[in-house]
Amino acid sequence: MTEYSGVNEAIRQLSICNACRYCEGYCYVWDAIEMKFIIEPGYVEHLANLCHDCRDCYYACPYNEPDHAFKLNIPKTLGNVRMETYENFIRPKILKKVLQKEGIITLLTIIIIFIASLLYISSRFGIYNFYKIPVTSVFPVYLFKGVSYFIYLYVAVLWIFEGVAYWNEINDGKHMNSMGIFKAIYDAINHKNFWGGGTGCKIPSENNKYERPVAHMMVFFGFIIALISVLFYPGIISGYAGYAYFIGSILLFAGSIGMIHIHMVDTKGLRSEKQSAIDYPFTVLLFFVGFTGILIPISVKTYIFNWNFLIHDVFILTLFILAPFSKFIHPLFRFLSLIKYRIDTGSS
Amino acid sequence: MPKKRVIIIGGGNAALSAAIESAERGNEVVLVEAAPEKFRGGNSKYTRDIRYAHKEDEFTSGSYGVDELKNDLLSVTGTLENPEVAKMVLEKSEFVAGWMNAHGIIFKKEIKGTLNLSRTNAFFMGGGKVLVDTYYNLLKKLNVRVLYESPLTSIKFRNLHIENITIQKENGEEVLQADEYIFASGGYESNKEWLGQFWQEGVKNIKVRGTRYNMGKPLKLLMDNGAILCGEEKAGHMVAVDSRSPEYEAGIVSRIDAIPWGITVNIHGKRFYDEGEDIWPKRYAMWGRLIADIDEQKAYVVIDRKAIGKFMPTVYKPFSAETIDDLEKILGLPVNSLKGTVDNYNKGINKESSDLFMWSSSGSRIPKSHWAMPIDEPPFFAYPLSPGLTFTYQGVKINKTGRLMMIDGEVDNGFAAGEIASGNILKKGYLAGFGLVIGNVLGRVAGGWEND
Ligand SMILES: Cc1cc2nc3c(=O)[nH]c(=O)nc-3n(C[C@H](O)[C@H](O)[C@H](O)COP(=O)(O)OP(=O)(O)OC[C@H]3O[C@@H](n4cnc5c(N)ncnc54)[C@H](O)[C@@H]3O)c2cc1C
Ligand code: SF4
Ligand code: SF4
Repeated sequence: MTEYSGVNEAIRQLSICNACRYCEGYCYVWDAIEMKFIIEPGYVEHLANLCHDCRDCYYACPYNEPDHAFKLNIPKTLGNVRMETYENFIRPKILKKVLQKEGIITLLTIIIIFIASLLYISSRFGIYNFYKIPVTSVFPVYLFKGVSYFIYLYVAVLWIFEGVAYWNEINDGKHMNSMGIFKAIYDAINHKNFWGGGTGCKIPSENNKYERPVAHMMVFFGFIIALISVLFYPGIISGYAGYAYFIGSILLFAGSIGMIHIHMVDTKGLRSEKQSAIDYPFTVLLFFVGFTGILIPISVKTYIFNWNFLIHDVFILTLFILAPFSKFIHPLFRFLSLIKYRIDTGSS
Repeated sequence: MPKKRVIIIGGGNAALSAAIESAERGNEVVLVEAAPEKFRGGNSKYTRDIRYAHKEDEFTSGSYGVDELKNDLLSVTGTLENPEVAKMVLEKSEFVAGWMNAHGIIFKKEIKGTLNLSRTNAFFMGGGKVLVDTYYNLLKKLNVRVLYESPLTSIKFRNLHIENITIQKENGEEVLQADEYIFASGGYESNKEWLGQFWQEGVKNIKVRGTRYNMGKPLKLLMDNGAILCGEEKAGHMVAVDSRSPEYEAGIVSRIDAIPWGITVNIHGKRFYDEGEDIWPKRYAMWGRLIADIDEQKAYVVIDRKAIGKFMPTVYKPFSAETIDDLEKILGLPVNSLKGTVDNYNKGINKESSDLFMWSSSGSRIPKSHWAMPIDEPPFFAYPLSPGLTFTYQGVKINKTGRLMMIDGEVDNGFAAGEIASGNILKKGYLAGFGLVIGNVLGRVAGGWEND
């Protein structure tokens, strides 16, 4: 069993919770914790990835740091453990460095891909003529689809490696089953753990309820819509897939603005700093993906069209290249923990 | 109708319920709380459920009539000290959950079988901190002035009328004057000097489960001014808690409910009471009192591997050892004391029934009448136990209108609500979830909720 510092602190804190259980009902963490008498490291990671960081349990707790001897801050502690889980299950292991320096590496990746594409463009078409070239000549369908499928495959393969490693750590000897998977998909889609069991999500502050769940839903669905419609290239420029892509981009754009706003006004000090350090670059990247995505149909037949399309693709490529080593892996761990939860709780 | 000016002394559930009720009736309300803002909320901050009479509702698994509630109350407290007030609280308890819900408290509903709802009690989301925070937020909207760190220090009476009160502020005392005064300042459970009257030196070993701000000063002042008292004098509700927990404010988490699954010994390694006595739900409260009355107010509950998982998880890990001898050493008990006790206990076990509940042990002078599982499978575990005081019983007498009853008669503009007056209903013993209901009903009655 892997041992980490954050996990030990989380075990200390969660043992207090398990004797308390007042937070039952806010999210799956509290039902999951009740299944154990003693909380062990692998289980802590599972709990940490079940936590969707709504901070309801923080505001409910009479034992919080710094005023109480028990010094609790469950969302922050679980945030730290989530970070450690990501770091521990990134494959190849060496690339956990990406996560640790996500901001700067995201920026560098964007720059490198952009320069590379400039070189390609200047050798093929010349920088000054680029804007006049029909987009399907710049990105022929076979090339566009080829790159897309390759990149999806790349992410899928690495996610499988990472996911299997994580699953082996948390599974408690149980096997995956389709009931668990379907129910976990259902939970992911309706954002089951974002709503504080009906009381709302208290991020960025105690007075909030719906800002974060709504923003996250927009990003989530925006991304999925865009991902599917891309397969219809070049249809994403015009036609039905184009509309879908446009809507997806708007959702991504609006949702990421919401998430960025949350970051800016969030109650400082309550959050895991390590988590914030990976959340921010990721959301900003999504914002640019959404923004340039919206410009696609708007800029049709203008001289910025090709440039915007190129830059849009640079952002997307960055997003996918870094997907197995950045904040983008969080759905993988969340999803596996949701499956485990659904298997553990059985047919209810 | 001219507005009244009302001062409420206290900052827990009873005070907040009174403040909300009174402010909603258009009164000008000031609430004075002894604690600083971040420690506000008294013992109410540590609660989680209410027990109230109800028909079928969405917060519980079935109906619970006033008569049944009354019987449950009588079973823990014996006789009703103040029947008219008790009757009123029992009857008005029916409105408590609805009122709380309408004032922002969200109750847990059955979410696809994951929550086990109880029939008698409704649990609210997040527990007491959310409860008091919700009410305090509401006070802002109702323009109630809240003065923190403002303990009451004196009350000026003129016959059966309160003229004014004095509170302690950072820079000296301040006299406050109003038309009515509501005392909702809890008991004296945090006041070790006062508790020392009953336990002398031993008081230092008692853990106070709730707030450290319930020093009982308002109660003392009312006593000194001739209030009629009610509720058992000596101490209050106590449970067995882990000795390693902080002296104050460990709330619910420090309790240890492993006792029925093992044996409990004193510092001499000897058993001192039947751990299997079937007196649920009173058992819980009884062990605190038992431990408070033995040497050093300290005991150990000893179990073996089989018992793990049968009781609520604990904050601190138990002491553990592979043999009873080693456990005895770790606990610092006299040589062979625990060993002898465990041997006698094991030898005397009678397992005739297939139902664990019926297993008993008669291996020593003190029998264990139920759940007598042998302690023979290593590892062996022990939790150190101390008495954990929940609240004190003694308070002031009130009448049906919530007004204070003095030896000479009723105070026309002084009320009491919550724990400070719970002796009217519970002179001893405790009914889980009823403390908040007493506070809610009496608080609102004091705040102007009509009586018919
Ligand atoms: C761990 C624990 C768990 C509990 N769980 C439950 C439960 O689930 N359900 C339930 O019904 N009951 C429960 N109880 C009992 C419950 O807490 C009390 O019955 C109830 O909270 C009493 O409310 P109150 O408003 O009268 O007093 P408190 O909530 O204790 O409030 C008293 C207030 O008075 C203030 N005060 C004290 N002295 C002064 C002064 N001189 N001047 C001004 N202000 C002063 C204090 O700071 C405090 O704010 C629990 C108790 C404990 C300790
Ligand atoms: S976070 Fe605090 S209130 Fe919630 S279960 Fe844990 S200890 Fe209890
Ligand atoms: S999801 Fe919310 S309630 Fe659940 S553990 Fe995380 S912060 Fe606490």
